[in-house]
Amino acid sequence: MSGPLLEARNVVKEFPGPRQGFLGMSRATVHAVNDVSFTLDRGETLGVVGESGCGKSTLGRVIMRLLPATAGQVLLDGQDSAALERADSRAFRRRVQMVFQDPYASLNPRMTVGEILAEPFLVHQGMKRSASTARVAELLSIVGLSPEHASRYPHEFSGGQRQRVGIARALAVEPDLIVLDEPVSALDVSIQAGVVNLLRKLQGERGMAYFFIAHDLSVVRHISERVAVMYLGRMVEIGTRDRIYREARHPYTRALMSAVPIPDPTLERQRQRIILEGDVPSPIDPPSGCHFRTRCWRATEICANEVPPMTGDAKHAFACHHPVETPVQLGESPVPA
Amino acid sequence: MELDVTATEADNLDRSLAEVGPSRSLLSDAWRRFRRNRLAMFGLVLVVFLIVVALIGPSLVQDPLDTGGISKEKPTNQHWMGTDSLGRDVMARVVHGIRLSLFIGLIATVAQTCLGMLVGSVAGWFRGWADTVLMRFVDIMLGIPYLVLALAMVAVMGKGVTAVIITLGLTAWLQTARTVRAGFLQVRELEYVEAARAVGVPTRRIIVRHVLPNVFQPVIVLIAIGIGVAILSEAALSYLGVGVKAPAPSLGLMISESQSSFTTSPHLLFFPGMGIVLTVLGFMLVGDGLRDALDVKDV
Repeated sequence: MSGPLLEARNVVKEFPGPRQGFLGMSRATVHAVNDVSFTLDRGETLGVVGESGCGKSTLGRVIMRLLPATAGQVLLDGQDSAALERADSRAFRRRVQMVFQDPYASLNPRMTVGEILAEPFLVHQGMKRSASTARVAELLSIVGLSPEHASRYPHEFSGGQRQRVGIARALAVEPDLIVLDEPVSALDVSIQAGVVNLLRKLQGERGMAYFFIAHDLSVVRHISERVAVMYLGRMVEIGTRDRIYREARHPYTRALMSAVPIPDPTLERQRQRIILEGDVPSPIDPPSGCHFRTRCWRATEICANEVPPMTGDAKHAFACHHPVETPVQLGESPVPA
Repeated sequence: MELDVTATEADNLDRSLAEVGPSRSLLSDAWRRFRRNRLAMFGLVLVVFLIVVALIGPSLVQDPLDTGGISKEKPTNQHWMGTDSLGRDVMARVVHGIRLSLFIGLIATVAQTCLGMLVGSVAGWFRGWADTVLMRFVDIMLGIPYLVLALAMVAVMGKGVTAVIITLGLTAWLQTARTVRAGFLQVRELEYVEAARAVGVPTRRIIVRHVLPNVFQPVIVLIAIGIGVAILSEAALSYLGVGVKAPAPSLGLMISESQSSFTTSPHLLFFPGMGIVLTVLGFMLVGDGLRDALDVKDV
């Protein structure tokens, strides 16, 4: 089949916010995801970065249909995922799976690991516990655990091991796409690399696509073919990994990159940080025009009046009226090229 | 690449942790904590003893309705706890009274727990107007003094064991409903419930397999305490003359009957009183022990 595996078209997600006004009769709106479009090819990894509250997790849940989109469409193989999910929810879930951020909260403490991993087989193939034992054992060894672990409860495992169980659960239905919601950010740094490498290995073997949400730029660089940067509900820049890490154009992307320390004391001392002023504005009342303008050192009048459109091609696009023209300097990039 | 070297090391580090100790379920952990609690173990022994008394006691003692003895006799070799004003054996009546108390407490608590869990689950899962309507009703019920409510219900249904069970069942479910609702509201937002939805688990299975087992701990505590409370309430209702009907051996009824002769025949008050105290104490201690062992905070 041609065309991308996943395509988001102008996706908007709004939540009812806190009550306000006289006797709380009116309600504010939280603009969590604001007009986001992107594509994701089969077997590809799209890394999504941005600080907390920028809407990247919400976007992941909209793709998963755990949350309905307020407006816009998510297409899976060219078909509207909302319609797919409504028509046959289970068939949709066989194609799209998710790994959650918190390995301590995402496994039911009252079920053994074996029961947790047998559930997809029961739900999707009607397999009884006894029939799926071999499949569960296979899943456990795929993610680097041993089949004897099936009888254990989640609280007996370390964070990294639990996250492997979470990955195994997502693999059970052999999906085309896995949404990974900050799968390593809750883990010790020493364990992170192991899990990231496992994810890469699995992708090499099984060819599924990853929608990889993270806030750690080094992890994203390690695993992604393409990278998208989000700020306050909008996607501000998207492109291939090398274009983003070497030639980022959006001031926010540049600021984000300059904040990552370099594992080399000499370079680290030379690192020039771009310090942003102020806090992220509230998603209840985002600034007019470009959302980043209140903290941007390049902002002018046009930034307040007009929302910058996404410009560029499939390899690199950004939404900025005053993009940075110079390539990323050594010391500005998180990992020396 | 630099990252890959550390990655292999990290992989080994993580894998080496794979050798975990012997499997321990959460329940066996709880049992270990419970066993270490002496007061709770005393309560458990008491409860087990009383259950044994209730099960095999009646076949060992005399007929609780036989009026053949001397009136208000002090404890003797033949009547270990003496006789009451009608010459009936007090020990036989206490043993039968404990049996009746346990029976009423158990049935009423099972009933109220089912009702409370049903209402609490519906309110906590569906939220919205169902939650509002059900919980406001619970608030109103909690606002009415318990005895007034019980007296009104007995007035409608008449006296007797069945009426007492229904009354206790219909008045005691409020706390259970609130606790279960609070548990649902909390658990339904947890990531493992979302993960179950992401896997495609149907809603009914999510409620039964993922939510209910995780809100059940406080309910277990409420059941243990609830049996104690129900026994106490039965005694209170019978004492007030709106509970179990006269010839039946109820501990509350026995206390009520002994009142007039309490100064001359204190054994008529002491033995049924001890029966109530030990039964209620046993269940309360077990409930407290369970609360600590299961680490329940909100009951």
